[in-house]
Amino acid sequence: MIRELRELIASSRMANISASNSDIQAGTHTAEEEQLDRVPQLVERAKRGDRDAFAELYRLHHARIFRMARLHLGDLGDGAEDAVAETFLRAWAALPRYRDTGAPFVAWLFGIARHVVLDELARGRRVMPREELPEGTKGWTVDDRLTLAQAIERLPAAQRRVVELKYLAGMKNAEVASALGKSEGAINAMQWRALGTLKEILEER
Amino acid sequence: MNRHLEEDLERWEAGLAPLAELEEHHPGPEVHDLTELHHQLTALGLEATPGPERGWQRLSARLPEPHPGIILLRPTEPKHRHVLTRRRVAVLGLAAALTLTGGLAAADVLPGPAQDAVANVAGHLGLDFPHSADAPDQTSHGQEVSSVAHSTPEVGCDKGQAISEVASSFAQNHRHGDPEPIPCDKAEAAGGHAHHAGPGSGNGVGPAAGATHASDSGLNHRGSHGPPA
Repeated sequence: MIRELRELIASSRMANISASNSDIQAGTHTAEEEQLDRVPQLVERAKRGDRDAFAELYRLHHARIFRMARLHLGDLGDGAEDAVAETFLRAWAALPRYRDTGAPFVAWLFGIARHVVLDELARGRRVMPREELPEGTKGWTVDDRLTLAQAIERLPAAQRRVVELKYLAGMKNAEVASALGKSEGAINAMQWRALGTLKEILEER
Repeated sequence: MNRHLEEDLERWEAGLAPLAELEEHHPGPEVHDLTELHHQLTALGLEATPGPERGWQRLSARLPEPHPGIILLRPTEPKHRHVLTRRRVAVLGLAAALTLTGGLAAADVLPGPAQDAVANVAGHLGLDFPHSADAPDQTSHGQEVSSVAHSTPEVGCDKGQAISEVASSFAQNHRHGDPEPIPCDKAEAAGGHAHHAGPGSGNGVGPAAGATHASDSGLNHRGSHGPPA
């Protein structure tokens, strides 16, 4: 099983991933972080019915929600895009009840997106991806992605949330800690524990 | 996974420890597998996605406005209809309340302060509603009649007449025209027949009969059917 995992990992290794993790993170989110600073103001305006502010929130968070939906639903047709639209429709309806608890807004959106994805999966809308992979996933096979998505689904809820918020929503551990009401140290530990569990799930397959 | 490995992986992720150091501290494939999985997932979060504009164009056409929560719960048209219905109900309710209050006030059955308040307002509107002070005190009037019936020294027709006078005092206040003939005088003029009435008619001069005589028509009736002179 471990050999299969190694093969899976080896097959999915990306050319631009070096041994140093900081190479990936450095400079990637800087511009986005500047934009995300405006999120609380945009949320307040959107709560008052400002569609322009909501459009801005959509543009800022579209990619993260899309990636999450695509991972779980596949990429054929408009499945992921429809899930994103449904997520933001529900968010628009629920926005007047949104309360800023200090956690990143994207964590709230991810909570909605998760329900949308589960609804879609319950309707049997999961698409077995057989089309080209998105740009930036050289070395992956479509089955690898599906296997990984299914493995993430099988994680314990708390670990799955850490993985989704950290890797798919692109949140820092401190932000994940704020969103889940835990300490940063606890999130650090949970993250690696989740990866350990994920590795075990993948080895079982 | 042991705690020491978790801490080392945290240090590696933070850029504080090279991978080689971790692999040296933790021999075997575990460090390599976990760091590779970390890279995979990180790359997953950096995958290219379609631009948001097309999606926003489609979404904005479906987006209710202006306040989503309220709009979803209250469609526009029924809301307008509901407002009109509420107004109608309010107006009808107010009219009904005023009619009821006015009716009760006109019947002079409201409690004293309420009666006075309604009478004052109605007075400003040119309507003549009685004040509470105008209303006869039925309880004390009945007691007064009863008291006379039990205490008057008169007997027979005179007692009945005395009771009748008290009982019909309110009616007399409103009576116009000639005063009524006095029954006992009429009876005496007719030969004192009234004093010779049988046991059944004797009740007619008791307290109860006196109350009955409070009716003017009753007095006239009896008078008209008295024995011939």
